[in-house]
Amino acid sequence: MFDVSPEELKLFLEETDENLHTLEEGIMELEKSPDAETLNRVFRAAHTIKGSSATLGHQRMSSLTHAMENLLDRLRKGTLTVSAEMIDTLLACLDALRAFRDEIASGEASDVRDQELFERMRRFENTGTAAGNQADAGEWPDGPLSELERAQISGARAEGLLALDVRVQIDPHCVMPSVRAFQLLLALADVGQVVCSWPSQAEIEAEQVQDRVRVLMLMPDANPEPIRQAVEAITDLKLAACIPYNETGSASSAHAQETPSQADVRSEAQDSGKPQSPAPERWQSGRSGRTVRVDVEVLDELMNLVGELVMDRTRLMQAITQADDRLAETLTGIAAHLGRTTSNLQDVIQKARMQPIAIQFKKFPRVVRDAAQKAGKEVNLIIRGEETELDRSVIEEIGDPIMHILRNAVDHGLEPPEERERIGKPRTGTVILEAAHEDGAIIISIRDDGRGIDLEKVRASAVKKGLITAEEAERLSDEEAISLIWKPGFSTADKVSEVSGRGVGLDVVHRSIERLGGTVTVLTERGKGTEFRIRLLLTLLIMRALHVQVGDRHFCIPLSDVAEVDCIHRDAVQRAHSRSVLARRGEITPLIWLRDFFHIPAESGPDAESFYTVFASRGGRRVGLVVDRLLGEGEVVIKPLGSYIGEVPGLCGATLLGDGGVALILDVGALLHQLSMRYSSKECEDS
Amino acid sequence: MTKTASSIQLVIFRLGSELYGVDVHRLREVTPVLRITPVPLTRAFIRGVMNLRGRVITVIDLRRRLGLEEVPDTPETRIVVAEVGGEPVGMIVDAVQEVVTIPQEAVLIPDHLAAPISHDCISGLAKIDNQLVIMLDLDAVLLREAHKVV
Repeated sequence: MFDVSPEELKLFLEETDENLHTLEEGIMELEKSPDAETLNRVFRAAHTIKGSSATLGHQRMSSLTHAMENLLDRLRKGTLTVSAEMIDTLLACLDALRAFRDEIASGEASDVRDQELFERMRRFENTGTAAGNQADAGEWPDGPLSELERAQISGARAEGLLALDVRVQIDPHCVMPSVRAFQLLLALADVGQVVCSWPSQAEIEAEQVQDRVRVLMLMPDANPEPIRQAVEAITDLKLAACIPYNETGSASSAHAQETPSQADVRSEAQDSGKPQSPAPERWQSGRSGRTVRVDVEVLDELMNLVGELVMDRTRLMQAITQADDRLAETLTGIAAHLGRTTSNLQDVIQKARMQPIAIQFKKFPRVVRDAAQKAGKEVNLIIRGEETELDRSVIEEIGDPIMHILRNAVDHGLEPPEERERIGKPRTGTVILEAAHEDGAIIISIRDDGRGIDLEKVRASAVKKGLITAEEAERLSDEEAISLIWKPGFSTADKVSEVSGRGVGLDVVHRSIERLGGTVTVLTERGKGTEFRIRLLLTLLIMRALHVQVGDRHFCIPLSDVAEVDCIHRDAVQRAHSRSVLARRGEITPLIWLRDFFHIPAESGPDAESFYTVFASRGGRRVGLVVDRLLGEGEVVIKPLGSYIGEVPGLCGATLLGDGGVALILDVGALLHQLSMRYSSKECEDS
Repeated sequence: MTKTASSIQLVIFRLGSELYGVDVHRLREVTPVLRITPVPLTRAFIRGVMNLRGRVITVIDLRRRLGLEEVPDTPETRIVVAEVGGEPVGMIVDAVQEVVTIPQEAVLIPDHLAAPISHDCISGLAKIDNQLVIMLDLDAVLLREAHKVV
């Protein structure tokens, strides 16, 4: 469908995805605070997409972005104001652009109804023009520049400065407009270099001031914010426009009654001119000079190679034990150095794999907005800590679980606005999404100020759905009751909504987080709200592990899950509810004989008097894993088992050993899960 | 029965006295049996995983997969590495015989096969030097969802 090389296509898709993100983020921000900086950012993103899609020959995509640009430009000029309806329209356009992007990626046509979108945008233009004309019913003062002023401007432009045309509206009811205008000149002289003004300073001092003042000034960039702040700090003044000064067009553009098409043409010229858009330029030079894009696969490959080095070092260490003393000493030195270098290399690659979680967080304002609209809720989403960095592979996987919890919070957590008002809460509910570091781990917290989880309802629902018996439900502590929400097939929602609450989901959320080696806990208070806390390890690729032997098999247990290791006497084991438990220090810990769990043939000889037990814990739950032998601890590189083998209960991957063999890595979270499933099914059978 | 003028390249291997053929383009490599780590709680025909030059790959026992009697490994035993959805998967065979090029029309796709194994995993029969070669349908053999031993 499109005649481009695969490289060009890849570049286009990458760039477009980034710009679509920027657009989405910006549009969402516009709804909250339509400041000039956001508008400019959104405008630039639309502009870039317009250009690149036109180059690629996607006419509809470039026309649509063109129309969006027009609308945004009117917002930027202040002849239109942001409304919820407009945000909806812009978001609908964004969806259409995504569909167009997919068209280009797949080469298959989509059924985007862009004509409808054009129609919707046209409606704003009509309302806007009328309002704009009313507000702008008058002319901006203008006048010729002196030779000196012209020289001043061209000199400044050569130095990289911008000539800005600052247009200020004075409140018509203002009693002393010339004083305000004079104040304005003084204030602007503080932010930049004032070249001249219409009316001129002399005219102002002579009190020849109407309700409009134009100031021509030199600034390092087009950012209108410092100017706006300076202007609006003065009573009765309002910044009407802050646009690059265009001398040849100044006479015509000084007329406020422009037709929309004229405005478009001018905005084109502004944005294609190089010095006028310094922000992206600075960004680009920063990037192209110091940064390269690297495919994640390359980093994975690098990490694999480091893994090989780690193994070589282990092999070297083994060889040293067989060498004579003098040689051993030399080799030990080399091995130590190799070890240090390898771990530095690991750190550097690890760093390269880290990305800010903002990549995911960006998507959520839209998700929450859509969910709120569908559920008839009013929600303010606050995002914090989006600069927090995580391993790229974790970031990819964590998006869906967070999205699900957010939707859940909007759907089930927050009360409808009327109910909130009735109970004395603000109409608009708050959902806070926050990422932060906490001793070597990342905490992602999603909390709402809604109704909290009704534990009685949870208990009743679990009984009704046959997940537990009524007696069990009564015995459950509150903490245990909360964890029922993670069970497959559980949902407390009274009605099933489109967004969440189909009875699938939370268990999947739980599983995905555990697969990442993370934990999730729920804190809830009736009437106050609920918090989901996800705890993730910084990296998944390399970890420290305890090596153990079961039968003739070699297993690794992530050290982050290991609480302690002990030798337990046979007599200390008790049977409860047809399973083995261990009572120590007032705590009951269930035991899993890994040999039985994995059906590993027993080594010959009678059962030992005592056995090694690795106490592992996850999310506050403990389990004792009975092993035959402890082999020591060390760093392991995690390798996936692959998808062909299918999901293996209790295992989360494999690692290569120094001798070329493979050891399996235990998944403590899954083992605990198995334990609770077996437990509840046993209980059901017993009762 | 389909006939085309093109030819195909087959890797011929042996299970017991039977010869099997697989399109060479579907295979990555053939390796001797390295140390295989058994993986518990998986499908019965999965032997385990092994380290193939730094990558952990799953190895299946082709005899078990096809419902044939099991035999201990010999020095001739080989692992034929194929690919399923971009992922390498090894298959243990008794021996790898040779690579041959045969005309496409030498492969017969009969309606009924008088073969010792289920029809599901067979895509046809070929006669090479008066010997019957069973053409394996790799997609069926390595079907991710295949749970039972046929």
